[in-house]
Amino acid sequence: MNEILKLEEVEKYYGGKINLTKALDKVSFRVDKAEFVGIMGSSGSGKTTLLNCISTIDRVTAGHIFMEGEDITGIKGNNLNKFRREKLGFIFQDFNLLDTLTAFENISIALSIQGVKAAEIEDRVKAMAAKLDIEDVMNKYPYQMSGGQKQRVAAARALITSPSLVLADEPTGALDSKASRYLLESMEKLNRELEATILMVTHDAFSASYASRVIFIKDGKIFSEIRKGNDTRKQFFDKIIEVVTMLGGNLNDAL
Amino acid sequence: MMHCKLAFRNIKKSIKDYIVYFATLILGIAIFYVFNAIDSQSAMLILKDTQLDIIGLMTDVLSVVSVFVAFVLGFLIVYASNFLMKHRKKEFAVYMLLGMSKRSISAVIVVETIFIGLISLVVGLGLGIIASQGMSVIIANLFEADMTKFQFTVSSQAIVKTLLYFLVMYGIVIVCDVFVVGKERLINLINSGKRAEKNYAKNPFLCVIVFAAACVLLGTAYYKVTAGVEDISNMGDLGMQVVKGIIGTFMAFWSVSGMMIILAEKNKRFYFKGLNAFSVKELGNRINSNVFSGGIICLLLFFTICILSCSMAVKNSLNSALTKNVQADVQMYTHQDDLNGAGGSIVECLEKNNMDMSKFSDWSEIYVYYIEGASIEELLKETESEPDFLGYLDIVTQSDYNKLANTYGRDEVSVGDDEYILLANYSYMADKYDAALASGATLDICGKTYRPKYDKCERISLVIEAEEANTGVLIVPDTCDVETYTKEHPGETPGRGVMFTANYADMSDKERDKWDESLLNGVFRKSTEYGISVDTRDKIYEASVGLTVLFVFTGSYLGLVFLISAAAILALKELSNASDNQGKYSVLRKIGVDEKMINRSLLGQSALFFGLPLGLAVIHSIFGIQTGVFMLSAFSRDGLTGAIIFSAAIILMIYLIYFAVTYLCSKEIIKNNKN
Repeated sequence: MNEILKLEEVEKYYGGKINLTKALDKVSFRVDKAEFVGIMGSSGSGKTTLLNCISTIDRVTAGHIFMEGEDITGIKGNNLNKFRREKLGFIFQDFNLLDTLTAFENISIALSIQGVKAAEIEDRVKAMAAKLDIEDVMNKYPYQMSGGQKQRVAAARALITSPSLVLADEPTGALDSKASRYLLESMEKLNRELEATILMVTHDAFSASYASRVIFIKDGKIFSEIRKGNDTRKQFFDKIIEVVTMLGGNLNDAL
Repeated sequence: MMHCKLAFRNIKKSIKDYIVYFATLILGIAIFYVFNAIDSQSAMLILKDTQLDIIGLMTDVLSVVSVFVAFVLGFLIVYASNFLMKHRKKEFAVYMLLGMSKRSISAVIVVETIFIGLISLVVGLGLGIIASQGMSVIIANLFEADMTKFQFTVSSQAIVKTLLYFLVMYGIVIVCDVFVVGKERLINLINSGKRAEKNYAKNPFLCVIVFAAACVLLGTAYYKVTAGVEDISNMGDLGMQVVKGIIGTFMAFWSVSGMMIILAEKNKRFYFKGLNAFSVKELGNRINSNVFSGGIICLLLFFTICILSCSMAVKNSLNSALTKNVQADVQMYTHQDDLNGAGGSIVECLEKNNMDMSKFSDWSEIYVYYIEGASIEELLKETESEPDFLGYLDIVTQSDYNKLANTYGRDEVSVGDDEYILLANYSYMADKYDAALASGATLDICGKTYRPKYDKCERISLVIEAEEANTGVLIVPDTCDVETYTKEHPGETPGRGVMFTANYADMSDKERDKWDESLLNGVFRKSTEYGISVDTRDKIYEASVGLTVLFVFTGSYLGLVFLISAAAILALKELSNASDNQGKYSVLRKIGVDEKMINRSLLGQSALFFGLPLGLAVIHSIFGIQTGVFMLSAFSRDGLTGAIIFSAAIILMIYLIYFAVTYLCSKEIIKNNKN
């Protein structure tokens, strides 16, 4: 299988000598192409730190992160931006759409900053909008859209550039259950149809059950990992709940 | 004590947000002091009585203007502090959540304001005192006064006045701020951070219509005040055009961003390149949310440009007009209603009063007549149906004029038996005369018809004066016996004037001053018997310099205050916008936009946000200055270009400094956000 992301003994420390916090403690795992990986953990478990390190927003203290074979912990300056622009797509909990731009423009900006030609932009945005069923909001502004629509626009923005890896940080965190389900189904579909590789951070077992594999993090360490395999989503969900229970009720907000 | 500590920390923490506010306060205070300290700054100079009179007049005028300036600055300060308060609501919410009473929070605000007020007053006054020393040099230069005994001067009167005005302003600020905090409920304060995602996008179709309407309004107003200016007969008409201009300005600001977005969207290759779509929409949104202040700022800048250019132009034109129009040292004039009575010669009168005529190197005495048939309306009757100026034309015979021309050092003239020559240099009238002369307007004088010798009037004056205000002098041949005509029609004509013009023989400046003094304040002034008015070259020069100084000082005072107000409001808006938009820029960074691209976008937005009001103001000014010059048409236009360049340089410099500081600060602000 094609390896997209590999973490080797990644460590991230905060604070000084006296009160050292190990946010990430020797975390290693790999993500292959077209995988949909969920990362679960309670608040303070280090999952956001992990995401920040992978997205090069934060620097690791030790260890290496390889993206398609390239060690991204060594990239500096403007090459970091280039890396993020070309290899990564982001979906945030609070959508982070630009409120002065229409849905279309919000999506197209990801392409225009890569220097894609105007004519091509229009076609690609339209095609992506059709896949995510947001064609009718293309000319609307964020304040005119529902939360679910906004998050699908954000997903379109993340995926339009065909990034090597899509990072989703609690994408359903601000959505009601119906919109959540719809978004997750869309993500699953994109994962399947476009072979998009998705790494989703969540503390919600229901969201995690849409992934093909779930990695559990506790206190900065990998606690366990389960694969969906041939299970149905319901069976996978039950497995996840089992692990969560094992984690000691730290994830009591899992449902 | 706790309040002091908290207030002090707040200021230290948010120094970046306050820097523009602070700098504007200091500048405002310094300017206020400098212009109110003028009389004591000039006290050390050795000035003549007339110059002291002018300084006195100027002090009076400037103190009236200061009241107006205080209102402008007061408004600016209240507005700016209110604006900053709005951005601190979240901070107050935290205080309230921690259990601080509104009274305590108000106390913090009071302490803060007092603190800021004290520092700004001390720094501002210090700066003002230093700058006002430079002002002494400028005054000395303008009056060509003696600067040998320069001394450092501090005007306690101006300090007291500045303190008084600004303390009142700070008092109002405190009342307003405390009121804002007092009426707010905690829930609103807490939620103030969550900005409602407001979108100011407008209907594009409506924008096009409004923009077109604004163009039409402004276009007609521009046309009316320039090409059609001669149809404007009263201030009401002019006011109408100004109102049209103001409405047009606001409409332009209402619609310009819509137009800009439509145009940008049409050009897809531009729009979908880099961050262009983001920049255009951000800017559009900002302009849309600032229609009112944008319009006000544009108008303030427009006034600044016009006031500065026009006052400088008046100064320059007066200087050049002096050398051109004052061609003799002394001129005396008296009027005789009845030629059959006694008197009629200034020379006789001088000799009778024991004046030594050998003190004059050359002199001439001539007569100026006024006769029924030779009037402005007669001259213009063919070309103008309703002339807006009425009055007699002065009549001088050819030989009399040539005598005067010799004293002035001008060329002699000669006219044919049925010809006349017209002199006029009040440009508004002179243009009309040219049209009449070109059509061969004839005049009936003393029963004979005369036709113009030239098809243009000569742009010179008969008397020595600083302004170009000659509204018409006729030179007629000696055969035209106006003397007899006037004698035979006593009571029907206004009589004749006697004009004595002379140059001094070589003498020292001191002796010359003595002679001036004796002519101006001697026997002719003491006795009403003669009714002779006297002008000397020096007197005209001094009066003219006084006028210049008055114009320039009032103009630059108002201009500077308007300018810093406009620039400060823009800067505050831009800075608060940058802090509101921190999140947007961090999103852009996360999706991989280069720092360079972000800075370019920010620079473009700021430049256009600052540039748009200035751009429209410049367009306004192109027409406004022409109207201003037209209204001041007694002054020649010689100095206009230089004046405009000089004023533009000052305005641009101050504006650019504000812009640069704003851009650098907002760059810092958007960088500041982690994640």
